[in-house]
Amino acid sequence: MKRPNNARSGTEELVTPELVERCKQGDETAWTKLVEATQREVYTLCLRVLRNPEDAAEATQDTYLKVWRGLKGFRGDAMFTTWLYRVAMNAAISRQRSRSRKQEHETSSDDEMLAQLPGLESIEAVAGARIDVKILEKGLDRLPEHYRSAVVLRDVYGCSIEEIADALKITQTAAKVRVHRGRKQLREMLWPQISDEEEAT
Amino acid sequence: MRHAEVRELLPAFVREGHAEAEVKAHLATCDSCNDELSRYVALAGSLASLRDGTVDVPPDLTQRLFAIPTESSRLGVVKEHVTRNRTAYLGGAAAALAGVGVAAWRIRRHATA
Repeated sequence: MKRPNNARSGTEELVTPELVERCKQGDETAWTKLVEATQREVYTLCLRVLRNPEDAAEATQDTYLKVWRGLKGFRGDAMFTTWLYRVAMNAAISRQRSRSRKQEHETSSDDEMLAQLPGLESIEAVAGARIDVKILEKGLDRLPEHYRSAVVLRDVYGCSIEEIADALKITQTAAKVRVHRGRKQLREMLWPQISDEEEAT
Repeated sequence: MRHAEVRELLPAFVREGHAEAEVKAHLATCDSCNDELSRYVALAGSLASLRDGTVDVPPDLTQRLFAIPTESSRLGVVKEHVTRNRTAYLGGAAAALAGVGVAAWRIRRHATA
């Protein structure tokens, strides 16, 4: 089932510092609650980066393993969900990296997979422009992998350039360039009929 | 400032807000560059809104996630066991070596005496 409402704010309310503290002390009931509250967002993030349900499942499992092991060192000064998404992002990226080393994977527009992604109704976007989410997803899908992860992390999940650079093991300048080029390519895919030259003259 | 130069900066203008005075000045008077900017604004808004939707997690994955504490502690027990045994083994090996050394020393001493 799709849940197009504000899953985000709900998640942050459910994950209280007390719940995190109980998990730190090894409380398995608390852990179950924590997983229930956050797994959809983590899995969706992995699916968005990896575009393949099996890989996304593996990356999600990697994420929670790391979180469970790292909980002891987690200090309450950072927001738990922020940390969680950072771990998820890293897990997804490192799986992506090992995948592209191993094989030429099929990330081509698998309509079944695309249909799984949420929010297929079109969005009434700002400035009167309408972007069909299905078309946006297709555009993201056609974006070269290294641009896509940068754009997804920056523009969908609001990560900072610094975080993206760290995760992708590239310089901040390179991260900025990838975001920039990714946005440009997306824009060209979404409005192919309107080219720079045509309009600028 | 030329259209092409302005357009090159627009993808960054949207979110990072690189508001150079020159770009702003150009945008204030150029309709077509403003249209281009609004496309990037629409794109940014649409991308951000993607986050608000999430998909169902496969049930078997959820079960695996729930099981992590149990699995980890089982793994932890195994690891601890191996570590302890390794220590014991290494200790034993060291003792044996020491024994051999002492014996050899005694034999040599005996031989030279």
